Amino acid sequence: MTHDDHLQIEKRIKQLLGSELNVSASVIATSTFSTPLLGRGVGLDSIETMALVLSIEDEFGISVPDTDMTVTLFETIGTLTDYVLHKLSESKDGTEKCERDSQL
Amino acid sequence: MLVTVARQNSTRVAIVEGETTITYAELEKQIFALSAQLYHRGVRQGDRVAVFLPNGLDFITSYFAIVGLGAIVVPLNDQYQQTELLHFLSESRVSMVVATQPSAAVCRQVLLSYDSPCLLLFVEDREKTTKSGSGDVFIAGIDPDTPVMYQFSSGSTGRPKRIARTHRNLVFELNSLVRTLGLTHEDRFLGVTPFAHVNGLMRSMMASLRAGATLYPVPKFERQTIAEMIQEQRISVFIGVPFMFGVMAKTNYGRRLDFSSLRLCISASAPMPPKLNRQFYEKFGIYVRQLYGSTETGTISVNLSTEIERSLDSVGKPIAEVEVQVYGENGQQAQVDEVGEIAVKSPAAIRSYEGSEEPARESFRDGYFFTGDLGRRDQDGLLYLVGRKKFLINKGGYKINPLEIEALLETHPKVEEAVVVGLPTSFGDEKVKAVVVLSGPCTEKDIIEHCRGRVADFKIPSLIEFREALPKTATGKIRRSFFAPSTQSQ
Repeated sequence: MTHDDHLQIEKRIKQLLGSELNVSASVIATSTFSTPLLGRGVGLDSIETMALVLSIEDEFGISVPDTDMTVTLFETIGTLTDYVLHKLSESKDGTEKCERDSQL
Repeated sequence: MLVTVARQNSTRVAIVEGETTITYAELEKQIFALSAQLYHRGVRQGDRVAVFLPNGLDFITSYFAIVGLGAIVVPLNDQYQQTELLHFLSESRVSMVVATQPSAAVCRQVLLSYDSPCLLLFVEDREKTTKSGSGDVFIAGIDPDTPVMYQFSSGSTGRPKRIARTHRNLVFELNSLVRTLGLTHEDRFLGVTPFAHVNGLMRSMMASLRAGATLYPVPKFERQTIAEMIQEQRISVFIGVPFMFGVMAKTNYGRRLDFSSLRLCISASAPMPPKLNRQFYEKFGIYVRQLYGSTETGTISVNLSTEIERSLDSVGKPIAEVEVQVYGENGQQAQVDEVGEIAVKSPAAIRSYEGSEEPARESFRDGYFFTGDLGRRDQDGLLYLVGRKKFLINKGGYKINPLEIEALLETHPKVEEAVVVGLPTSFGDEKVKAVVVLSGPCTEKDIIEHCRGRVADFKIPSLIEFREALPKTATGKIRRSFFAPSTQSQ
């Protein structure tokens, strides 16, 4: 994954924060990769993180297991971006593997 | 109550918590052991003991051990922060807090500011076996009209008001729930709604134990864990809030789940949007039934209609022996489909707030409790909630008093004035929005930071708007309706 991929995912997560959770435009505009999603950052609570995960799953076609729904995942916009990238690359690898298996 | 149920169902499984399975006989022993421990630490009849615990066996044993001593349980939301904890301890004159070690630092800090003697008991130190095992410290013949539990209304007109429900109130409500919902010892309850809140406490924890059923307490809502639990443990009764059912309806589980064991899904504490309900039905093959209740009255009604598709937005008909009236603006009983304030007469209801005369006169009249909810009844007698006369915010089932948050915001040195309102979400609840007039430079993050740690996270505004001034009436009152539509609450 490239730096551009990171930026693209981060941008889409920020868009979801605005469109799905109504986080204000000024908070989003001043948020960076290292802005915390919980507490003294974007200020999400547990109910909102669940709503964010649902929209991320929908947007990126990934699945987030309960075990991954930790404080660490929502530590910053960056940690969430990294996670989404990781899940996307996992699913890409999985798809490629399936395609290879089906060709055998 | 529990002792009788335990003896009738002694070999049946009462609680399943992770790998731990407890029969009713074992549960009774654990309760006796803890009550003896509490007694030796000085708890006596009429004392107030706070339970600051997540859902689980510890909460259940603590609750019944306190009740058995004739003391009063004060269940507290385990998300509360120091200021809130101190407030509720002070309002209840609590003499002991039962908590977990992870919350030790918060509890100790709070007790430094608390002006009465108060002991701390950590459940990690709780006695699980007792030599006598007989419950000999239990009080026999407790007056059924004495308080068993203190809870707090969200306080639409000021500070939260103390609600003292009696043994008689609770026994009536539980017996009524068992009859109305046809609960039996064969049922398996999911206990995921917080026990510190009336919905989880009465309709999940207490109803399960009253029916001699099996309760699966869960400290936290996790959608995959819950789905697996329903499927694998063959859960039959799921008491929740719209947010939980909505999340499950929207989650792509990637496989077909077998929820055929579920015979009752009941949602309370906030309105369940019909669209989400249909999604839930399409995915799991069962409709969620809406239940209406309040901390003051207990359960009022539940929608068990056989034509549920046509009445998804109804909270149903009153349960046995509960009387509901709808009063129009002229103070007369409303006609069919006419909107008015809902008033409730129930043997499970309190008769007044404790230590608060003024709101009592407003809310308790002619044997009815005036709920502040606006609703209507259709020609079949089904009740529909359409809004709130009072202006509480409903966040995921938790009621938030905007005045509390406004007062907190106005303690910020750069905030001149603030109004807090609820904005509807797709889950049927609301998010907290603050509209703030500043007296100096300040950012949204400054405001959020100011709130953090002073109130529970769910009360902190997730939307902040800055304005030059707030719209007001001729008498200087803020026009709340300018910022948000009226909301309803269950």
